[in-house]
Amino acid sequence: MKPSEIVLLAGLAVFSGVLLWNGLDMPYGSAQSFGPGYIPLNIAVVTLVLIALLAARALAARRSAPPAQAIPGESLGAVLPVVAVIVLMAAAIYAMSLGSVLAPLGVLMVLLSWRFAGHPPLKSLFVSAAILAVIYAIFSLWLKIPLI
Amino acid sequence: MLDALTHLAGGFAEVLTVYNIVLIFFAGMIGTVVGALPGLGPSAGIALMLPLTFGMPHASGLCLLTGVYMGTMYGGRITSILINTPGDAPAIVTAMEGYPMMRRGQGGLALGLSAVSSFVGGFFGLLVLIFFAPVVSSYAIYLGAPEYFLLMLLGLSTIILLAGEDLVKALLMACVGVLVSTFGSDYISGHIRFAFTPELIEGIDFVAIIIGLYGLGEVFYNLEQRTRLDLGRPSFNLREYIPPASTLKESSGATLRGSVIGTVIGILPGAGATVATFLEYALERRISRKPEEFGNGAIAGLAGPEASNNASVPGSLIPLITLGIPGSGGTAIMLGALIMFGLQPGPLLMIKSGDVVWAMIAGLVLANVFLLFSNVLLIPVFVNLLRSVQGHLASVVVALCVVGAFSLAYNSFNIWVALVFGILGYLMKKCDYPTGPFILAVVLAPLAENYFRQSIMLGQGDWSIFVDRPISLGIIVAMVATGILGLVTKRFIKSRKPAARA
Repeated sequence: MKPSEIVLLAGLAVFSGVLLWNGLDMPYGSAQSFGPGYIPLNIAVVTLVLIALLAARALAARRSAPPAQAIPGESLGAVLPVVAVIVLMAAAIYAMSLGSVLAPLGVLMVLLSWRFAGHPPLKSLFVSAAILAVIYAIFSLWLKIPLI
Repeated sequence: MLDALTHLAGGFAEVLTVYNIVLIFFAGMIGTVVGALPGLGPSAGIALMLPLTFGMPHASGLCLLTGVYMGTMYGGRITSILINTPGDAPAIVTAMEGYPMMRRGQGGLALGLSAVSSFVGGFFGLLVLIFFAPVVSSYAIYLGAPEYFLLMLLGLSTIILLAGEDLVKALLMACVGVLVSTFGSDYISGHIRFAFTPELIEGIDFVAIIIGLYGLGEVFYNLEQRTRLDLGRPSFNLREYIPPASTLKESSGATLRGSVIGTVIGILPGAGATVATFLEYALERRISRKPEEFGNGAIAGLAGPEASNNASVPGSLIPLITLGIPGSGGTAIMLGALIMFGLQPGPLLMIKSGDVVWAMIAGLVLANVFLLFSNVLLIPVFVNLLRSVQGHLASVVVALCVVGAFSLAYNSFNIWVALVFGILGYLMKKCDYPTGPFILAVVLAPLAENYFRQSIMLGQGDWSIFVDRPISLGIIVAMVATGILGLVTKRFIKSRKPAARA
């Protein structure tokens, strides 16, 4: 199992565990019908069972596979830009909650184009400004969506 | 039937004025642009145009609104194919097959083919609307909660076909989809489930989920893989965008099947178009001689669901016009418009205000024809726009996703949702977990849950309600028969293969 799959399954396990825990407080059902807790509770249990099944299957495959066929690990260098973009996006969204959507979005776009796509800074700035202008014209001026 | 033709001719007589023709043409174009924007779908398009209809003649106003509605259905496929960001649920299947075609440099062809299929689907749906609306709607009223639940279950059963190679992974993602759909108010009891923040009281917006899962997930994945698109230089050679006769012939069967399924299932309230596109996709995959092509840009996998999607528009108008029941957000706003115009939606609408309704249907026929031509002509514009920004595609997609998610409720909460599901989409793609079962569960599970609980309440706790009613029993029999037939066919093919090899 790749580290990213472990992260995915662990995240899903925590998610379903939290819903299972909260679902315990909900009415499960009555004589007439099922309550609001019926589906979340049962599906959370099934989800946890499926995650356990996938983990057990991966463990069994690892034990039975010869050492030469071990699953290759992931390159941290390849994953790092993704993590950096996610952190940048999170910072931009936080900044958006303080007021303007377009300003943090513009900064994010320039950084994406310059630092991650490898374009010269001036070109990144120009292209991002042009795209933002089109977005502003469509969403803000035409559709009256308050982006600023 | 002759009656319908006479009424339709009357409708055309009312609609065929320069003013109305120009209005319908622009309505279709505006709908296409709005539908192409992530986060905005038919409801937003119709709602945006509603104020413009004040003071218009009723027929013109309704033509404007239905033209926008039809246009958004055409537009929804553009971002699905070009940047893998579906704007609504029915466009997800389009992204599953259209985006791989775009990556192979066949984005123009995919858009052209989907425009033709959309036209055929829309046209078929309109024929049914014109000739059989009262008949179809008279059957629709016999469907109750048990039948709707079973139909949702039928839609959910396509998870098996969307599963790919690992059924356990598909089931896991379907379960996660069901859990995600349980957030927010429970419509049966009024209980608020998992509202960890006040924004979650209304649940998680489905559009924010697909924007993140497909749009942002793809950006993150391409960033890791250092994918560089090479779509060539901008070109206006129309032959690149109009599907050749061989492709049209290859897709004709799927388009016709999609049209029938889209019209019939599109009548269902709630998720008619979504169920129709997934069922059609599953059907095409099952009957295909090359099922391995599905997911990699299969012609039938693109054409069939696109036809279903557009056929469902007239389909969803059938219960609205004949019974006054809106089946989707878009038709709910249309219902409001009908009331605003002083019309009384319901069984008497066709009798009391038949002239306006038939003018609207004639307007839809015109809009469908205009949309085919305008969309084929717009394809080079969209494809060349993409080509000119292909080096900056990551930042363009991120910008559209952020603005699209923001537009849903004018706050940053949905952008956070899109980011979270973007991370999930990235991890799922990286680890080969299918997105189809997840998204299908998110859309259909809440409807299935509500119908299921309503059915049990209706039966006073007795499960036999599903077999006591003839239509629901018929659906169960059809489902079991399809399952058995599928298994038998699979075994038969398996047994033939070794024999053929020997």
